Amino acid sequence: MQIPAVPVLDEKMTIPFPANHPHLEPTIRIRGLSRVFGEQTVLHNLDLDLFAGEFVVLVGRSGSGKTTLLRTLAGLDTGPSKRVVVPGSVSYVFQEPRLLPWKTVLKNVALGLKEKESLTHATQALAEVGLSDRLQYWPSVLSGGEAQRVSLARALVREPKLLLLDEPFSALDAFTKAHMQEMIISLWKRHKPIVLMVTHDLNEALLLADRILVLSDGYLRAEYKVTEPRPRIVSKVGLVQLREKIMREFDSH
Amino acid sequence: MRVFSELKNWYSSIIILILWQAGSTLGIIPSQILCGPNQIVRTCVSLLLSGELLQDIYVSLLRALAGLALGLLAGILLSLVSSLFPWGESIIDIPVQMARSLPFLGLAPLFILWFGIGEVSKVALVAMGAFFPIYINLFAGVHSTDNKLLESCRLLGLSRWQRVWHVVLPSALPSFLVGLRYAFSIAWLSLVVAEQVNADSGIGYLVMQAREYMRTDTMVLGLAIYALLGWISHAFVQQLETRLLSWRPAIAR
Repeated sequence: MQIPAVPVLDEKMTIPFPANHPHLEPTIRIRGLSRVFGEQTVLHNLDLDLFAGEFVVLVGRSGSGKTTLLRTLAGLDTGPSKRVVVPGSVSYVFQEPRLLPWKTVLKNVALGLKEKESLTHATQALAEVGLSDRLQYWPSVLSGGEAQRVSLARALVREPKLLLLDEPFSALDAFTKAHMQEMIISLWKRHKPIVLMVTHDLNEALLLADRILVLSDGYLRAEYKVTEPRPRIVSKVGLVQLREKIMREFDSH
Repeated sequence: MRVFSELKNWYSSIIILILWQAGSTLGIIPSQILCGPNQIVRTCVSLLLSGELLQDIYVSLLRALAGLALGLLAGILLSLVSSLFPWGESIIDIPVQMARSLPFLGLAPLFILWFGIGEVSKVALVAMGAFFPIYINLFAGVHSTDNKLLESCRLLGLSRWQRVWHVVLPSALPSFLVGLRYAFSIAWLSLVVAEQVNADSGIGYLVMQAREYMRTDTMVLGLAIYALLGWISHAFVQQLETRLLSWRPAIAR
């Protein structure tokens, strides 16, 4: 299926960015995005292109504007900035699972699905995240990792063009986190959405990303391609070197 | 074994009952002050056999239920309009908050003036008593809705009214049930007042008539019936809570 490139409403649309995707038209193109809260500028004239099927990870310190960017893409930020138009549906996974406690796991995933077979789709989505035996559970009895998997299933069941992940694993313990990172890669490979993930965990970025963007004080400072084949190990020489490069980038600001 | 342990909870009540009976049989408690339990049971049986008691209970119950239904309806409607629409809050909430500080039982004479000495004034007093706890608790419940849940449901594509149905109302439900519990107990209280000020039937009438003849047995019986009705309504709300709030961690298994 051809995904139409829908431009963002803006003035300087013609500048190609990034230069290393010359043959591709970006699916989502952001130009000159700024966001000001009161006195503070959170995003400075930001340019960003997202290409079909890529896994992009945005790293930055807290307060660097990562979440603001994600919220803008989701249409949650209705502030005075430009509206970013995203073709197709967008799903958002938050740090907390945000499940409705009064709906069963299955009903939570089916929520917002319009078709008549919404329960069938929801059942399939829950099977994909390994929760077939939890369909009729209340969210309150799930573990943190299980609840976040339900949240992932709820995001993926809508077959999003763009999947926004806002530090989705940062509240989980190390083992659950590692398991979830494997799971998100296999889900991404199967459904092929554009993933834009925010994290403050550089190792996580190195393990998952096709492209790492460094955001600092509202500026996109740098962009790194990660070509290492998956599954990755962070101790791999190439990744260790890349990690040092990114750390230096952080230290320079 | 279980019967024995359940009996344990009743020990003190049984001892009080025995002491009461003994005091009354030995003449320590004169019957003009308080009849013995045996006398009360005897009166109860004779009033039941004559059909008088059931008729009075029926009349009182009808008044209470009619008043409750009206109070509930008005409370739910006004509270939803006032909490879901900004204009509703400015129109409804301030007058209601002012009226709330009125000692509404003191309105009984005025209600008789407005609605006559018939059923209407009694039902109106019960309705008014039931209205405030419903209104206030539902209003607070709607306002306690978690913004994060609303936000994630907006991202799932739920319309405003779908969000009200799937998120706002379920999260207001626990608070509403607290209001319902209060509404029931205030309804019984209002009924006692309404029936004692002016009535020619009902439990309150039975008690007032018994006072004329110093029949403490009938008076205690009347109070016991009020207590029984109150206990039944309490059990009813508790059942409702167990069924409707089964998703809550405390109740979920």
